[in-house]
Amino acid sequence: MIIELIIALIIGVMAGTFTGLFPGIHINLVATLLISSSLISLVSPLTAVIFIVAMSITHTFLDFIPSIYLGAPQEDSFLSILPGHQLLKEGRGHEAVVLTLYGSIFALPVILIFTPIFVFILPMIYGLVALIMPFILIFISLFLIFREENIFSSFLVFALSGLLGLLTFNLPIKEPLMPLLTGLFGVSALFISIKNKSGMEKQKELSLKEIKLTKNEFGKACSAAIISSPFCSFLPGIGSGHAAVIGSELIEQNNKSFLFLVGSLNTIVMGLSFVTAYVIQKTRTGSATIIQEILTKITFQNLMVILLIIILSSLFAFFIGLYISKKASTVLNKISYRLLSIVTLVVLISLTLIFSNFLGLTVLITGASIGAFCILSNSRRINLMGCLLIPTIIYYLF
Amino acid sequence: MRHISLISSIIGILILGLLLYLSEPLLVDSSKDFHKLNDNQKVLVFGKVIKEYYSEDSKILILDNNLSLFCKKPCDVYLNKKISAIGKKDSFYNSVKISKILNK
Repeated sequence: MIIELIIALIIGVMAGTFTGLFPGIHINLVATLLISSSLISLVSPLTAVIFIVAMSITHTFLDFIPSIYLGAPQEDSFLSILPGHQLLKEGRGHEAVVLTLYGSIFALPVILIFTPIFVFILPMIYGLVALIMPFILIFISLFLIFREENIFSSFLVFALSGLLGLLTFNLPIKEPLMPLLTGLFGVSALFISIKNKSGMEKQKELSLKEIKLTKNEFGKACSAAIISSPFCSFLPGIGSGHAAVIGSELIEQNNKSFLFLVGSLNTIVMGLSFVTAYVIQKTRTGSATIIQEILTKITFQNLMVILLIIILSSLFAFFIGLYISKKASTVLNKISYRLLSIVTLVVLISLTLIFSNFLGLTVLITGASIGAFCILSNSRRINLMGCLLIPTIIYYLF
Repeated sequence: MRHISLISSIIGILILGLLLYLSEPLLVDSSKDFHKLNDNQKVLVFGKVIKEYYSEDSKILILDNNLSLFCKKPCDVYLNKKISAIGKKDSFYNSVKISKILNK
């Protein structure tokens, strides 16, 4: 039995590495394939749960690698493109990835501390938070727009992204987040850098000792993560992207602390989604939904096993992430950045056609146009988060 | 370049908006066909309501062809009535979210 569980953990980590590195291959897809196949009947429910938890947590560590090195975003890592791309051009791609890995490791104590708090407080505050969440998001949206120098451009970017988000979530598009986020955050930046013929400095391979945050940066990133993540871990439609906007707008971040912040949020939101499923039987992530389907009811013992798997898979994922990032950084030094950008652009368009459909391609092109308009207007790209904020506000208000 | 990107953004949004409002609903008469559809696909369903029950702020209607419809409150009583409705596929609830009941 123990051997079966260890094998499930190892295969889960391997599957999470695969889904994390390849945009378009989502953990939900792998988990759904697992429960709909006959394989599920061959293993115990706990083994299947260990596989899903290990895969989901590993995914949250590794999905920053394609976002930062290729500009190819995934559902929960797209915000890392913004500062990640800039650091990559300065030859600091590995540093950017390591900062997100530090953030993901920091998520572990946060998950462990918030677990008992969730168990006792969540059933009491769930209704209240669901009630006030749209107003928090409206406040943050106005704050995003009005803190810019050019308010009109910022409003236009926010409103166009919001409209695109609303349309995307109401049209029959397979995997709607993929073309939406890839267009707004990935393709737009790649297109502008190809057009401007911008180059990239030689990638530096710094050791872990050389990659660190100052006390001030660390304090700001941790505070933002602790303030924003619990509220974005249990409501449907609200996730790490929303938490990153709330956290970074309330406590100002620089590039390094922002990467640490998004790394931590990604893992915290995933980890706490399992705790939420145990406490209030409501699921926010696909992985938590599938675990609930497998176990029918998550018990306290199940939760303890899930927490243990979160810790073990995080340790594996951290070192796998370090290794792959170093390799990627070495390979990047041997390739022309312009050529890499063109190849990535072609791959992203092809993936959209494969995983979404013609409608997905229209969303990708429109998103890329809005993203390009945002960059060329010198508006902060966080305004593109209107694509998630406006649909969420409307969902909770109406 | 800035203006071109703004214009293409607006054109893209207009195209998607037109596709959303002008698309014709697909006729679905069995749960087997229903599973093959993408989420948010506009569908036209019809059948006899054989079961009704409440779930949080909505009412679930089960048709004789095994399709389940998701009707936001306030929702009339349709039990044992033949209905046809236009709605959208909602994978989360594995049902059709009703936007309009055409006849009963």
